[in-house]
Amino acid sequence: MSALVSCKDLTKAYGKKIAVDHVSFEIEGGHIIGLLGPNGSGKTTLIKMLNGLLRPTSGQLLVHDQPIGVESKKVISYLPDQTYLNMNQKVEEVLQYFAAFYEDFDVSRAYHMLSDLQIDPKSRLKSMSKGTKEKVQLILVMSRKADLYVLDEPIAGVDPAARDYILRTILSNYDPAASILISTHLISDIENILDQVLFLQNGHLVLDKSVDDIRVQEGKSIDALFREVFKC
Amino acid sequence: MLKKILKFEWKHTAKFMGIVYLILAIATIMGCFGLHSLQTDSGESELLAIFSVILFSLYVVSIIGICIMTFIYQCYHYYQTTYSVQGYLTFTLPVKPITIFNGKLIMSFGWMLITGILSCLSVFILLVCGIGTEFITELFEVDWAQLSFEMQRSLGMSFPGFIAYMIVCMLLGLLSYLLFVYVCMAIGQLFHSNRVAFSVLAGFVIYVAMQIISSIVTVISGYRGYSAMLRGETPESVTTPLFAMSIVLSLIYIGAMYFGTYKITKDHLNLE
Repeated sequence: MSALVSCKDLTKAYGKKIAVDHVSFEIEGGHIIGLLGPNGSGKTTLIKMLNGLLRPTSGQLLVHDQPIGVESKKVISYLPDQTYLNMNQKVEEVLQYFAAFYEDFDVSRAYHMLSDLQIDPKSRLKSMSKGTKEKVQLILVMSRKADLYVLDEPIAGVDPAARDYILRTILSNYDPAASILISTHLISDIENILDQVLFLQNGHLVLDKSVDDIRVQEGKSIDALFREVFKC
Repeated sequence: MLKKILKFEWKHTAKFMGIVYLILAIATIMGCFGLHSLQTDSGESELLAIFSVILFSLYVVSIIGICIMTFIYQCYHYYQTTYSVQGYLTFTLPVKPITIFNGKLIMSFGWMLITGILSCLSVFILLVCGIGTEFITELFEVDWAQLSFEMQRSLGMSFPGFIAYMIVCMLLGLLSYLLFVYVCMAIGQLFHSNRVAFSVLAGFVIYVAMQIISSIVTVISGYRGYSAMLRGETPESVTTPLFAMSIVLSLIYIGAMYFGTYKITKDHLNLE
């Protein structure tokens, strides 16, 4: 069976600066993968290439053996690291937009999650706090029945209580056959849910291992290993 | 998918454009009042005369402002939804980049066209309110056959032909204004920093290049026309190639800017 995501010798350069340097890895279905690394390690650049927002300088990036394009966008649900919605819109208008373009968008699931979080679908995004906007974005992303959820810093801007809700939302709303790629600095908060980790440093992939292997072979948690690998 | 893109583009821009057209309606009423007062002014009230002039001036400023505002808003909306953070959503939709681009272009072009038509309508209403319907009656009294004959003799083009030519030129002009800004933005986003500055620079370079090409073509066409005139050929043989050349040149510019913007957005999208 082919990999969900296949990345081979992927490189992205901004002029002379190389953000992602000959990175190769594969993602299978049914896994939760942590994309970990310090600031400027190339995590967001990698995620943007996976979503077609940046074009690779060289290398190959395939989703279901297809290059990034319309077909890959149908199966990837992406949560960026910043608010990307039109702030003048109401939540219900954004839901209509997603429902119109994504065949896999489950409107009733979205309304259910909004109700859980007591977010009024008729309220405008600009009237919401930063944390509530992030929750709305997460609801939009997790209401899709995608093959791959790509979450860039999903818990960075919210309080610990909201973090727990977000992680619960992620875990309870994805199809077990699907995969989740999570990029974050807050490793201790998510390490219990990870199956696999990818460590990026200065654009290089320095570790691609299953969490079980790390615990058995290294005898330490992902957080401890991260602190050791990226020690300043 | 194009239908969906158009539908949501309409939804996202209709509110602002509605406000613009409301301002146009208010400006038209003000202009009508101002012009009517000026027409019927008996010179008794100096204050009323000043007020009328102010109202009429405001109308003129509003009409120009509304046309400029429509153009700027359409360019701003395109930038916001394409190259700013909202572009993350636009370009992760499972839609071909050309469909997204066409949808945005068609909607912006449509709004500019509507603004142009409504502005003309506003001027017409102003004339009717200000000077009555006499000018419409006078229009029917014009000897169109004679006018057409004179135009054919001097321009080598009938009156309806000339009007059609002007309309085509206007439509191509609207399209090329939009595409000019789009291609500059597309070039600007290729750079890591100072994107606005590079967009402006790209605009300057493209504008100068277009002016040089247009000048060369005009000189060549003009020389050929002048030679034809010396040979005593009909005006048609002089002006038709000139008019045709200006349309062909506009189409070439539009085609180049369209494919330039599309190719850059498709193959070199750079939402850093």
